[in-house]
Amino acid sequence: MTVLQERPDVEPAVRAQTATAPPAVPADAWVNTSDHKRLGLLFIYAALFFLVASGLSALVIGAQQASPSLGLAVSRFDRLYGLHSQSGILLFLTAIWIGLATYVVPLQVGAGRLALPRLSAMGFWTYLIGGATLLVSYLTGQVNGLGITQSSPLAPIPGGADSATLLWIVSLGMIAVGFLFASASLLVTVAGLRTDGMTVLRVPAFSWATLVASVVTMVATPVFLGGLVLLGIDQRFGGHLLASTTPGSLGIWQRALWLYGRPDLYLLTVLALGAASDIVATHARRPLLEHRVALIMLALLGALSLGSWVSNARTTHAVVVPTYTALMAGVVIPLGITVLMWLGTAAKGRPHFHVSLLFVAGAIGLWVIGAANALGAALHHVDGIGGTSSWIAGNVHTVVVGPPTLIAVGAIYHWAPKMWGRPLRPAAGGLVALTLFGGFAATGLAYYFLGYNGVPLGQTADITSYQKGLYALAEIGGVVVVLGVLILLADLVMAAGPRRDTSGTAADDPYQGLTLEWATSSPPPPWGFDSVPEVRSAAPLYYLRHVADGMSPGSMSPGSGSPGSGNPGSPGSGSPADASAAAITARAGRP
Amino acid sequence: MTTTTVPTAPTAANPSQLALPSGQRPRPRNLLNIGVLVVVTGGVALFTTLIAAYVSIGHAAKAWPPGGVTLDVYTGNMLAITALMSAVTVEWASYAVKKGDPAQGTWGLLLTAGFGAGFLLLLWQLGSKIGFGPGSAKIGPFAVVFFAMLASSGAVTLLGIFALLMVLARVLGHQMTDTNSEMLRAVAWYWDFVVVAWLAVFSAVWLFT
Repeated sequence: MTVLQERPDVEPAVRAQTATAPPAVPADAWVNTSDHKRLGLLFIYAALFFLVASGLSALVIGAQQASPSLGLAVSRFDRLYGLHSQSGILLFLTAIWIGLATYVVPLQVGAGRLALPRLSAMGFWTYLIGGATLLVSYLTGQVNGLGITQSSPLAPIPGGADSATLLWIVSLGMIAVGFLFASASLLVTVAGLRTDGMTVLRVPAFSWATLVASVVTMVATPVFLGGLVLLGIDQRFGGHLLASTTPGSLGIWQRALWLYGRPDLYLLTVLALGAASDIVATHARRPLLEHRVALIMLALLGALSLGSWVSNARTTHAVVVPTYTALMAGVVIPLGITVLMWLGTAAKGRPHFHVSLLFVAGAIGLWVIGAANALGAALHHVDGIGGTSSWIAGNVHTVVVGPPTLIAVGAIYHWAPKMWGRPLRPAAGGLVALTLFGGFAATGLAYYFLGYNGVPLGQTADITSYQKGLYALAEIGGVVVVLGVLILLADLVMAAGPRRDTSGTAADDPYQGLTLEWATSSPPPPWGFDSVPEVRSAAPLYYLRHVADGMSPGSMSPGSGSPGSGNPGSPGSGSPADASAAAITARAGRP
Repeated sequence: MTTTTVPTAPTAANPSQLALPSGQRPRPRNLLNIGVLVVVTGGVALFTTLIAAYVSIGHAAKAWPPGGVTLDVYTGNMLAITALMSAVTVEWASYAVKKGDPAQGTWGLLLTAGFGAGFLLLLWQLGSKIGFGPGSAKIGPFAVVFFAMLASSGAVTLLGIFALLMVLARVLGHQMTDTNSEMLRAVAWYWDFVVVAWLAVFSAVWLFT
């Protein structure tokens, strides 16, 4: 397996000839790869595949809830519910963020490669096989209860669990190990492979968020793995430890295994905030208002994510218990300050509209809806946190899943020129942003109001016509989300598919970017960078463009590099390399 | 995925091209050690979870260990002693290679791997006495947590033995010298974690129960 591809010693004239006709990449180059760019794309493609599985199961669930006369058996409903929630959160959302980080972070820190590339490759394949096994486990039979999406332990099975449940436990273990490997590699990359001059406080927001998320993952995921080891042994031999009748079992379940009680869910928000910070700053054409404060807020949110274990110490009325309320509400502080920082950055910068900003705006909208309903839950004394009310389904769609999904897709639109060498279509992106926002908002609000009406999670019998209407609204929201996903997939296929010519090729630095990923070609060469600019600030390219050569920020032309030129340093392009030639120092390696 | 970059020759008009290519960067020497520290952090979290579960369930139970369960003190002690001896030999191996004595390093690694194999056999013997299986009278919360700790110890030990043998092959192949022993240091740190993890389990189960 080739870990690193060396920069080839090819004459410029020869490279110019080959630039217009990229050779086909053999399939085994993807299977054997440990190149961070290919691994990142593999993670993203696999995550989108699992998103389709999650979306389709959501449609069937919603249809059954809106029309109970469909007659879906309870066991099948539970099976689909587990499949939807686990494939949606673990297999799609977590994986797509790891994919984005695997692609972008090594470029942002100027490394051009992962610190432990084989570990990342092992992480991807373990995740993929684990994900496929999870789907098979649900096809094989009924996984015991609702799995890790219920707040109370699984029921004991006399004589031992069936193959579906054991397969499900093994698959979750594989997925967790896969994420652990990928996170460890990313952590070491940011900690040990930062380029010259990139101090800890100069790390770009998304890379910093990745570092924070990886640190918490290294602490939290082994806890989940430990819980799975206990669960696997327990279920295999009849369920004696985690039976609801065993004193103390509830605490182990809720702290180690319950899906909604894991810090990992908050980490999705950490990563989303980090990516959105970079997106906003890039399109505002200026560094974040207070870069250091942004990093501190991300770290604070990561630390607060560990509070999710404490918050599940009570299963009822958790939202009105002061200690737990303070821990949960504390999340609002870093979230709110970061959003305010985005607004300030946009106000003081020279914002240029890009479709990825629509996704960020949609995520802010969902957070506002979630915050309003958190107050509503306190006023109505809703049993939301314990998982007994439909309110929690609203909160999961509006706060936990919706905003990170929107920003993940926005990040794909933002970094698409780098990933595929051509931008995605802005019109399609706008449509995707609107459908995802509308769909998540409709589904979330429907479940919130079902919660206020006292409808327990999943109850479809003995409900009023008003409540049936709310279920129908949730189903419509689900359909709209699936529609958005289909548009996204079509857009991606067109961008990533085979190309006949170089038309539509993205410039190397299409946004006058701030961070180092925009200092290499689009897409980057296998070796990452031909040369890495010296880093003297948190926005190194901005520094080089506006400060190093004494130019005022307003004197730069908005374009950067002619499309198709593929050369960040072409004369007159206004690219950072061109504007700051004197500041770019030669570097033949890390110290 | 290929690049479309078309570099131009360095000129006075375009001095940015004077920036030298980064070339193949040497691997920073401390990366493996950082990686092992990260892995060890995860391992510590795993064993903390299992021990916390053991303690938590034990506090809630009327009797702990439950009636009818006798802890095998002899095997437990032998496991702890074996683990401690292996920690000494792995440090000996690391020190010897760093001082340029691959022969002693080889012996140190062989002994550590041997202690590791012995440790696994003892774990197997201990686990087989728990009495798992349908119809077993001893099965219960204690057996589940105890077996989970044994299985986790066995898994991390097996991984450690694999890493030791990989390093041993490199020492024998003269690929690991006094100036290039980063991997051996990293493996030694990992092995130290394996030992400490077992000592934590030993303390929770035998000393403080």
